Amino acid sequence: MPLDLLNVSTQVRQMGELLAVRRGDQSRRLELLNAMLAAYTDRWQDLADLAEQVKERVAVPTGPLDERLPAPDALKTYTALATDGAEIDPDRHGGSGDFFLINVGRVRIPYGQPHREVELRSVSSLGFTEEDLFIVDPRDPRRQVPMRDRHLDALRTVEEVKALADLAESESATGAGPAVALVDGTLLFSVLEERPRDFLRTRFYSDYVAQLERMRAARVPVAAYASRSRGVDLVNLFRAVCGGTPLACDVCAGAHACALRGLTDAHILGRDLRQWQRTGVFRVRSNVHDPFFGVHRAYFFLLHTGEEIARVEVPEWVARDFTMLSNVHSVLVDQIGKGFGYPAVLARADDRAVISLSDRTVLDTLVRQELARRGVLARPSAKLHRKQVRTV
Amino acid sequence: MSALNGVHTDQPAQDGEVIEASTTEFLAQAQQLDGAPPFGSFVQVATDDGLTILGVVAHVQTSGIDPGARAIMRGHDDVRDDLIYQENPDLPLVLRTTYRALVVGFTEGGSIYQFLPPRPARLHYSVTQCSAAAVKTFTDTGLDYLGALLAGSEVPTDELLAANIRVTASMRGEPQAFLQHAGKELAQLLHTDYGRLTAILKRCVLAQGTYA
Repeated sequence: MPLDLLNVSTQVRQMGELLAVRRGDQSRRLELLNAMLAAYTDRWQDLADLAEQVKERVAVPTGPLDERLPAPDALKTYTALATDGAEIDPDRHGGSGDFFLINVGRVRIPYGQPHREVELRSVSSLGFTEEDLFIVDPRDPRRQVPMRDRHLDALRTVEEVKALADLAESESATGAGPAVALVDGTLLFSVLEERPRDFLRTRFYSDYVAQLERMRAARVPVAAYASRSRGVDLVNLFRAVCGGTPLACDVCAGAHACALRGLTDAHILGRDLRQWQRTGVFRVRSNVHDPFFGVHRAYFFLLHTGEEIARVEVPEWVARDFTMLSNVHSVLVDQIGKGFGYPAVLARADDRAVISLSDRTVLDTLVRQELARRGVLARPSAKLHRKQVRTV
Repeated sequence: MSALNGVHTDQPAQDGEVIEASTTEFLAQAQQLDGAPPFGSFVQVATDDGLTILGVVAHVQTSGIDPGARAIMRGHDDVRDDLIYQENPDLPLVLRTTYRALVVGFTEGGSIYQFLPPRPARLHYSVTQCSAAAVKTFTDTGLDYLGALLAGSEVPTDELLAANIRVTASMRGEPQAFLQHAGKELAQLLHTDYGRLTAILKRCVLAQGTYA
């Protein structure tokens, strides 16, 4: 057993003590912030003006900070659409050729429409050609970035939303009642760039936004759902307000650290939120995303699900459409109820997306068999071989 | 035609598909959720080479398709029973009904054999309920297959025997004659265990007298 449990257990105990102290400290700091929050509750326009001048990614309020909206009436019939994805990264050590796999679970559940069929599917695609495995700068073909790790994550995110747009378009064509399309996580996914004005963001964000546009055209609202949100866009805005210098700050009053440290938007906005209520809508001002997203700029609200505070992101055209936003809220309430704390349709999509260890083994065997059939030797690297065949 | 613990109905037989097979038994997934043939009834799987394997349904189970996913209580307020399925239309796609059948014999080239077949059923082949005529033909050749049921492992053997005798008696259309015949066969098989024999026979007669 390589884990030194005796040593780790001591550290776990120390961590427990620290977490308990930190939790107590958090409530004390929230008390400190009360005055600042109260001062800005109705001065949200001042905050919004300030937000436009900040460099960091921040939340821009679109109404009073203490806005609370109850769940709208439940929809009797609606269709829930969702996709989720998982990937297998190219295995440098495996030796069975360079490839990646993206598996997207796509789900359509029509509620209150017994004549319609439920769709639970997995769509798997293998990336193995040069075009799949390298992202090439269109202006300078010599610049190639391998499709792996964070870039493969980004590609998977695009594939998820592409499948969702497919679902939305086919749903729209049926002319059935309202539909809501859900993805897990965020609309504001990150693409690491190696240098400024790189081609990677253009590649992924343009593809992504094109899919959002398809959903807008299909009139199907899309939302990204983040369970137990750790978003800090509003916290960032307040940091900008107070200057982030504890010694000179009225709130922190010369304390050694900023009162906002370690807090999330949910701590600040979610305190008096009741179950199924949502906060007002905030726009996320992001210098990285806004130039690409255009009319699909992201907005978010927080939703109290009974157990936790979730963050729901929607594009601008959903945030500004009362019916669409209300449908997203109403559908999420029903879905979270059905899914015992997490939207049922997203859970089904996740079930269809997840790639198990045995799936990986089967894929590996398939690839090895095919290579062997063609006389290509598939040898693992010495390091992997050492892990597979342990010697003493 | 199917039978529910000895009660005839005119519902069409439900098809299933073999998802595990061995020499002594096969596991089938019912096409419809909760659509397994009745416990104790005869089912068959035909293969391409003229071999038809006959089994008796020995265990039926409904659970999540994903072995790691357990069903949990979903009823709330006035939502009960079928309303739960209406409220969660995805449930039939994530749940499944499977049934295990003990192999009791096979037919090949027009002949019926009441012993284990040379090959097991083929995976993914269709499982259908045996017609009344097929049950009559199979049981007319003898009741040696009752020994196979008695030797079944990890199944409620006594209940299985009683259920099979009830269903068969009812399907053959001559319940009393068949019960007597089966009773004699059982008496030979269980001549050393009078108590067990009586308990099985009581279940056959009681059900037959009450429901048939």
